[in-house]
Amino acid sequence: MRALGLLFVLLGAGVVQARETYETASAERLFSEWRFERAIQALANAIKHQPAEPTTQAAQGYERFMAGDFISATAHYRAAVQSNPRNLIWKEHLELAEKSAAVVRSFEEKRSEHFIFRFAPEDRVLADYGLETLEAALVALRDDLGYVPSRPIPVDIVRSAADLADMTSLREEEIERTGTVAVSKWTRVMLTTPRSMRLGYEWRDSLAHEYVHYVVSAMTFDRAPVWLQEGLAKFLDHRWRAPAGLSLNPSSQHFLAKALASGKLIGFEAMHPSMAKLPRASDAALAFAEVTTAMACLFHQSGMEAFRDVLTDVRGGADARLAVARAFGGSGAWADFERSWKSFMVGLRYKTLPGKEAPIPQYRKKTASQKAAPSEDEAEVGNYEEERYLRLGNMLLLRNRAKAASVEYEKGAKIAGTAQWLYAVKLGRTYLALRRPAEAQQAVAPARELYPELPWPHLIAGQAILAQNNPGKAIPPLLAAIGTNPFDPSVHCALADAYSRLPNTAPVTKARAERDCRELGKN
Amino acid sequence: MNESDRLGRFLERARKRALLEHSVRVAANTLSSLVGLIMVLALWANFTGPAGFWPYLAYFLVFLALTLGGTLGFFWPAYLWRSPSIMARLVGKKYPALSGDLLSAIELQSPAPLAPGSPNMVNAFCEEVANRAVPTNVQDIFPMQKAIRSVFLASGILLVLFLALALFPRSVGRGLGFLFHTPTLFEGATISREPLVGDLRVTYDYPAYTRLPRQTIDGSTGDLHALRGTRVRLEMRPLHSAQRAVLLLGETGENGQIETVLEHGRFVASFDLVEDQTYRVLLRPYLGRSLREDRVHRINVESDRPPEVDVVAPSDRLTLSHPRPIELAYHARDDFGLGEVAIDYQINGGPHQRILLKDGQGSKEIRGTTTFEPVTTMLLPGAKVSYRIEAQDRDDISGSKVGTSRTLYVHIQNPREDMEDRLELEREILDKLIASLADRLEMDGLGPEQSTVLRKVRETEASALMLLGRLVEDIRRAGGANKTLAATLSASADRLAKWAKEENDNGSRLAATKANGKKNVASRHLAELESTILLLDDFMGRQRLDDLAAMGKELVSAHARLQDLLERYKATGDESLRRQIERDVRELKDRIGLLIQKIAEVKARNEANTEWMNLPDAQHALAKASELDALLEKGDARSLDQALAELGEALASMRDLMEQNADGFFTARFPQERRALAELQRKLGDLEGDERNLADDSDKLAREIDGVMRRQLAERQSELVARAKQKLEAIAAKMAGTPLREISSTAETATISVRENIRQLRRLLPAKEWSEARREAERMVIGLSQLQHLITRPLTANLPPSPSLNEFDSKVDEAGQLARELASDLARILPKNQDVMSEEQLESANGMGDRQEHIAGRATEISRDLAGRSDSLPQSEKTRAELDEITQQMRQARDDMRQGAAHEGAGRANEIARRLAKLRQNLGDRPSVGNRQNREPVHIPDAESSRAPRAWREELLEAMREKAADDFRDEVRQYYEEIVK
Repeated sequence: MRALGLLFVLLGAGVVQARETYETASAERLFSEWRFERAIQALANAIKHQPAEPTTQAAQGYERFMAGDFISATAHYRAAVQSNPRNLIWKEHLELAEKSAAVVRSFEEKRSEHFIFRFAPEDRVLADYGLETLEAALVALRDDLGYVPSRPIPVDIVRSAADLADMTSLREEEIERTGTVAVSKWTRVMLTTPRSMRLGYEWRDSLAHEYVHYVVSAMTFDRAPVWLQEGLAKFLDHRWRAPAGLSLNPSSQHFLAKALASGKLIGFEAMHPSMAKLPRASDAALAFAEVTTAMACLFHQSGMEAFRDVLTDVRGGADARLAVARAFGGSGAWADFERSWKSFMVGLRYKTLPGKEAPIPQYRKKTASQKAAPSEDEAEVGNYEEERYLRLGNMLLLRNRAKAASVEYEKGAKIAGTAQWLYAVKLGRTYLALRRPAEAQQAVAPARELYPELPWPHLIAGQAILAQNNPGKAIPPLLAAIGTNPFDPSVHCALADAYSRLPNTAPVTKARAERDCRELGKN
Repeated sequence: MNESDRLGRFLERARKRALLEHSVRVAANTLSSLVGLIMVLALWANFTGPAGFWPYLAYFLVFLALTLGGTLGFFWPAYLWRSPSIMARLVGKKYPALSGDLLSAIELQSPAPLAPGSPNMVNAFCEEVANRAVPTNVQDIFPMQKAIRSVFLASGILLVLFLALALFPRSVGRGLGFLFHTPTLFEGATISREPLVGDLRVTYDYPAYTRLPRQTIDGSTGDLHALRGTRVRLEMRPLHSAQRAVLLLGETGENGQIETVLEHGRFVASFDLVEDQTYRVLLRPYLGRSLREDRVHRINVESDRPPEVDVVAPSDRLTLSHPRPIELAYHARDDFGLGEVAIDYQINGGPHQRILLKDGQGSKEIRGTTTFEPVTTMLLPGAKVSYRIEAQDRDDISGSKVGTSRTLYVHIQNPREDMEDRLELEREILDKLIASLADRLEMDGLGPEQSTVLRKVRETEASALMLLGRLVEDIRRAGGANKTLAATLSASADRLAKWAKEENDNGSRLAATKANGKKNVASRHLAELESTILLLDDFMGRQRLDDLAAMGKELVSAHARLQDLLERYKATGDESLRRQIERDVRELKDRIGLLIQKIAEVKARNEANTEWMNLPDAQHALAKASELDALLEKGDARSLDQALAELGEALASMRDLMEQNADGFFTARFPQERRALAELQRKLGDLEGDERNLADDSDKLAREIDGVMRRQLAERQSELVARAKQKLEAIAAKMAGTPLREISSTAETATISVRENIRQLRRLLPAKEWSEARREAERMVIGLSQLQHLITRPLTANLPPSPSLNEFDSKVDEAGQLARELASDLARILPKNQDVMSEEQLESANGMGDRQEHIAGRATEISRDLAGRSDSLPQSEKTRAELDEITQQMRQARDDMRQGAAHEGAGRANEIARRLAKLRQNLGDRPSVGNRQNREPVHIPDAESSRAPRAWREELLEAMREKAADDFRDEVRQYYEEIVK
């Protein structure tokens, strides 16, 4: 009888022990499933009952890691790893936390209602525009998908591909090869500064894009496959500035048109586990174009409600393809959706850019100064014949012979055609220098259309419009330029000028443009 | 005070006054007497001449006067007048009023009065005398009139003396001189107008270094004439009876005297000639005054002249791109014989350094040629070397004199400075061409305003073309890889000049056709301008990036050297190594500093496109170098490794980056050259691969043949080894022992070499390395023959040979015989390859020979291809020459293979493959900033080499006939002005 009693006591203790271990384990799992409220509750229980347990330490570390508090995360994980050195996941997380802490060590921080924006001091100009973008995206997605984050989202703007690799599980080589600039993982957003790219990139759209990932992950308990994630993110990433709808830039259109012509589309399976794992940047661009059109096809058929349904189904454990097919309507079979999607893509009638490959985001060389801003001079020019006129024009321009330079650029532009944007930019600049703004605007117009992801055509257009005394119309192209390369002081100065000429400008907006013009001009 | 004291005091005063008056008077009188006497004696001395007794007499008189004057004038009266009674008497004598009373009073006061009396009365008397005496003035008693008169008298006589000296210096002055001066031999002798000696014989013994024989002159006049340092023996017969003869040197004997010795009735003097001199003979008779000659004899000392040296060099001021030997011809001569002839040089005004050319060993003339090359480690770019030939004579008397040639100069160019200068020139041309292009592009229509612009454009272009011509010349002179570019630039310049001329001929056509937009002179002119600008820009970028890459490479090399030094320092702890490391680190820092500066310049000037301006942050490397420097200063040897490794990483990364830039630029901007280079590299790589395969096959065959040979040898090898060992040990026994001292160092070296052969054979024979053993034995045979030759040379040179040398000679002879036998045995042991090779192997060897022949054919073809490609491939000439040499080697390898010499064939094929690999790698090397270092000496040009090619001369003469173009008149004038400067 006594023995039986002892057995009960032991069993009872075992049950308690098992329950507590279950609490900490489920806390980690709940966090990884983005069920924050339950996860926090489970963690609180674990801390209360087993504060010194390595599993509790690891769960605490994970929570801190997701919150972007890398120093605390490191301390917790270190304690956990010391107690259980064989746990490779903890070790991996410890390493990530340590590296992340090193990356953000000198960062400054700015907060908005829902976001914690951290950035290097030289990237200060990104903060206001970045937070503005994120909050705008939040509002748009709240309306579209009905999601509002329950806790502040850390957004880290890192300096380079190496830093991004340090903060994620991606390798630097993969990041550079595919031109990956941002990652949304562990309930955080990590974005590379546009300063690190040779020609800048659409960083505001990228921020919004990563926020869409956050929303999709949160709404599906992180169960959405990559193609769905990327499709929705790409389809919705301009929602912070524009109404819903397909908005593929000509470069993506070019890749898609090319793939459709050759029948070499990338399968959804190949996109797993990440677009960054695709072999080439052009493959990644094509994959993005494909999944975006898939979502556009769905949206075109069933509207925003379809996205909500898909996300709900996926959260419930449904296969994403089936969920999409169901939301699309019709037979509800994936094959039907696929057929419709392909017809949709063909129906878009996208064209390849004549004779040219679209520019792929490229990181700058590692040795280049980290504080230098993107420059059009880092662009690769086509063949030698085109380049000779570019060089001659540059030489003349350097010697203040703008008129002669324009002649050489014109010659080059004639040979290169509209697909080569650099001549348009050079010509635009030269015409501006010659006080011929109308010609400048005309020169960059095709480039703006073909290469909206480049800052200089927008900048020159904005400056040209401003020079023609039309400040109201100058602001959108200037803001578009900021959306790609915010480090050029001339954009902010032109913007400040435009705002100063407009009577109804908010003083804060005007002051910000003036401040950025002044601060960036010092460098 | 009593009366006695009062009188005493009075008398004391009187004594002092009397003593003064007396002293002055006596002194004055004594002086008068002395001066008078001296004057008289001076006149007398003047009359009689100098004599040895005069000074004695004069000084005696002075002494007497001083003694008498002092005694009589002061000491004696002072002593005498101590007594009051005597003093009282003297006063009484001089002052009668007190005469008796004073003396009485003094005597009455004495302790033993002369007469007894009442003390009161005595006192009263004394008082009365004192009362009379004390008020009396002693000056009245002893007036000074007489003394003053005496002083006046003395002064007068002295005045007379001075007047006499002034007025009659030759008599009174000379007399006074005689009185107080002991005469020299010269002065004291009587002058003889007639010769005092006769039958003079002079014997000259010249300094040994002159190698001149002794010379004797009989019947000499006594004048001596010889080289400095000559020993003279002067013999003379006295014409007067004399106990002694002296040679008085100098005009008045002031330079001393030379004593003679009497030998067989002749006086003999021996002395060395040191300087020009005169002398007189002085004879000292047994009685009477000496006699001396009135006439002087001259001693003329000749000086040894310094050597004279001439030098002939390629140029007095030579500028070299890098240190190279310089051919020099020299001619040195000396009147008596030369010592060492050497090159004396200074680097950057530093200490003199010498290179000995020849020891003249007394030759009077030396001619020779040599190559001069200073210590090259000191010759950094920019160094200035001054040098000359110095010849010393062998004058050990006055000291060796040095004759020098004129000084010549060498300037080692600093390639970087030269490059900077060239870049400066290129920038200037580029600016002018761009300005011209801009003007042309911006020109609209052809109004009067445009005509002015066009004129200005033409001027600018003309000036740019002139500078371009200079640049092309510079590049051609510098040679190297850029010669191709020079040709291209020259062609562009020619075309531009042609278009300019056409435009000048008809300016209006330009505007007309330009306006029409047709392909014409104007557009072609513009296109040419654009091409030239781009070409020049490419060239500048390439130079700049290549320079940076070269600097990066140099830094890495410097780091490697530092590493090596540090290792050695850690192993030895040598302090000098530490200092060397410190110096190297400092130098490295300076170089990094220079690189930083260059990078900044490149960035500032925008000399290369952004794509290749991905320049490293050299500040990091500089910080690492500074860290290393600090650690060295602290002596923190432990941290040095880490710091050095970090510095190495930083430098290597910088180098890689800069090489990437340069390579990228080269590939993008010089695609034709890049392609040609890649193609050639590929072809050479193919050749190399095939050659390696062939070498492997040949090596495999050689091993097969060796195997067969080994098998054949296996049966009889033990016997062969035993016999060979026996012979080898016999040779070893004969060559044992320490080398003889009598044999030369060359023979000693040969002995050691033979012993090394023995040692190798001892190893090779048991190892059954028969081929090697045979070769070693053959080497030993040659070594022993040489040794024998070296030993027999002293034996045949009329030198008495020692028994030990004879013994050694015969041992070497016997050893030589044994060695020949051994080599012959080994040759017999080893059958020829063909003897052991199977049919199949022979066929295979032949096949390899054919393959080699085929590869050689391909190499010849590549070489032929390269013949006309110096335009597209600057390295083609050098590559071709190297390839031709390799082809020769291939043919040798082919012969080896066909003859079955597989080992030799494999060896050659491997060597060929190595050379091909090196050639291929060198092709990839970027040309260094300077020229490729040519080690050929700079030769002295002969008459032909300074002649310009005939065609060029004709062209020049033709050009001289033409008048300079108006546009160029100023430039031509400036050019000649610069030349004149």
